Amino acid sequence: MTQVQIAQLRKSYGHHEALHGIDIAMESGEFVVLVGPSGCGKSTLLRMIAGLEDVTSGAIAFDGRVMNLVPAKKRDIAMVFQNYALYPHLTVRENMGFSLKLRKVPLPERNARVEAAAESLGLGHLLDRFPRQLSGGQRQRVAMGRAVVREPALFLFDEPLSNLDAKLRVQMRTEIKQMHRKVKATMIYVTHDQVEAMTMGDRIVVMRDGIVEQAGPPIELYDRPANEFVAGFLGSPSMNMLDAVLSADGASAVLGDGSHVALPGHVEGGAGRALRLGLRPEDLLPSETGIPFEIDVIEPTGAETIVMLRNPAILGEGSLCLLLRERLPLAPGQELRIAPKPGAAHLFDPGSGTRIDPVLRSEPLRAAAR
Amino acid sequence: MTALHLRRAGMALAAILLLIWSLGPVYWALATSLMKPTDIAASPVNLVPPSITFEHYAKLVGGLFGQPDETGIWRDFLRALGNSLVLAGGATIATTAIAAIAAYAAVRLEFPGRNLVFYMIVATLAVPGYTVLIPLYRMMVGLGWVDTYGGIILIYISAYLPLSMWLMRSVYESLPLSIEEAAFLDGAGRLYTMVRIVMPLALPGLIAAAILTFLGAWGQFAVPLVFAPTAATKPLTVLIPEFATKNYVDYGLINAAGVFAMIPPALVVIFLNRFLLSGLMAGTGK
Repeated sequence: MTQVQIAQLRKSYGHHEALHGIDIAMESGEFVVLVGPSGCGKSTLLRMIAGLEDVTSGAIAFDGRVMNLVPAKKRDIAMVFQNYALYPHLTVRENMGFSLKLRKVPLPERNARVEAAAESLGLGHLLDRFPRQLSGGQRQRVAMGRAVVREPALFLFDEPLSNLDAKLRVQMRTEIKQMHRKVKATMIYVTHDQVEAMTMGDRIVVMRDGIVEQAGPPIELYDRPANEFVAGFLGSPSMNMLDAVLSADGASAVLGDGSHVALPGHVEGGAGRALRLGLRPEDLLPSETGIPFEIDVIEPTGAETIVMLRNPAILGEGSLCLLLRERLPLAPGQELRIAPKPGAAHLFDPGSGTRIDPVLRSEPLRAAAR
Repeated sequence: MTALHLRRAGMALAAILLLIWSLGPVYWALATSLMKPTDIAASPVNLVPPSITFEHYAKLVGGLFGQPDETGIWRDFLRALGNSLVLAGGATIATTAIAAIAAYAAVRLEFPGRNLVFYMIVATLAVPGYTVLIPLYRMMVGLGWVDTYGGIILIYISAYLPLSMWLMRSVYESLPLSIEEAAFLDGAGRLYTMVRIVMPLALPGLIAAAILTFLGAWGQFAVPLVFAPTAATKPLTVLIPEFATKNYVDYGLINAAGVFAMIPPALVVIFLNRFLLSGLMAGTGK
């Protein structure tokens, strides 16, 4: 159980700065997911926490103790690597017991702990095999077992599931969450997969180009993305982004074809202010009175149907994605009128990309203020 | 005859030619070493010994078995064989050990001038040995290291280290860094990681470096010719040509000694080759 504080952390390689002052505080026992596109600095940050990369400036502290200069071997951290990094010349038992042997844990206790961990991961019958004799999923489990056996203060995961097939990935996702609930240690998990981030994290830290774009509980980030990048990054299919302008009364966004989308409140800036209107695919519903689009492509997945819509006046060359839970008799080329769910619109400033929160109009309050 | 048959026949022919090319001299040495001096000198030459004799071998090692020995050749021969083993063995162990450590430093440790140092060492591969023989000789005389095992082994190390380092560097570069990082996080220090994790994985490379160094040192002629003037350090490569004197070339003796000289390198290759396991790295990662 360890609190992790990261303050103004920077990392430079020569003249290139990879991390531009990261601030994150992680609670003891929390499962934090660092997520972002490749090159965003999430792996670098994780490796700095592990002690595998030097800190250029700023601080990393565990429970208030600054770790910047503490070597990796003394940080009491277990890490699961993307390529598992098992010792190829050692058996599963030796791989899992390596750290205990280094800590001079007596052989009987070492064996007991390795066997208990192996049992809980379903590796009991593989203890005397070598890594080369295992399947990808089994190697992944050994890598997890090697971490669990140590009972470390902090677990780090560097894209541990990216080499597994889709089905195994979903299964291991659940197992890692179960493991977290059981061992209750602080865990930091790096992934580029927003589904993994959403499903696993107590808290998600979305990174891009060496900065933190937004941090918070998954649903909060999903419902109130702080900027256009986070809005587009979380959620699959991702949020539709439309160019719009503000109406004269500041209460609706006007699309390219002149149709209005009601906003959940009032937006300052006056008529004609340029806006980016974000609409999640599941927040769009067919409606008799909605905006007309032409159906371009229909992708049924069984549980739900993804429909791609076109309307050059609103979208230009782009398309609008719609996620339907019910099965409607639709065909490409048909017209479909849709309307967003009330209050579902997200607004962003086209220049900075930051979120614009409409102000709820409340006449009595205004009167009181006067 | 189909095209396939022709191709097979062609390949078989090529294999046979290659075998004759590489094993022919070995057979020739063996056959000559078993022939009587009169058969060796016969014309036309005898491809197969008309009669087998072990007299040349007896001259070389007969003294060991209590045979009378007028020439004293066997003492010189055994001494030279021992010298060859000490020189080649010592050079192999030292070169491989230094290359293992130095190449690791060149790959994994960061220090200023790392690549410069490495490339300067490797660049000495391009310097022909004979060009430095004279200055080296003067240095060794000055240090009093001529005709000593240490001095000659030192020269061998300087000759074979660059190649071994180069080889080991590419071996280390092929090892995933994450395995070493996993060991650090497991609580291992740099040295422990190197000995317990890196070396076992680099073993095939170490063996290859050892084989190359041993074969090179075993066959080395120019260096011991200059630096091993007396029986104290003279190896087989220098002794055997001395069997050819001004008045008489003892082909039988030369070839019998040559056959003996082939045995240690052959044993080294056969024995060490077993450790050159392929697929040792399989199963590290995904």
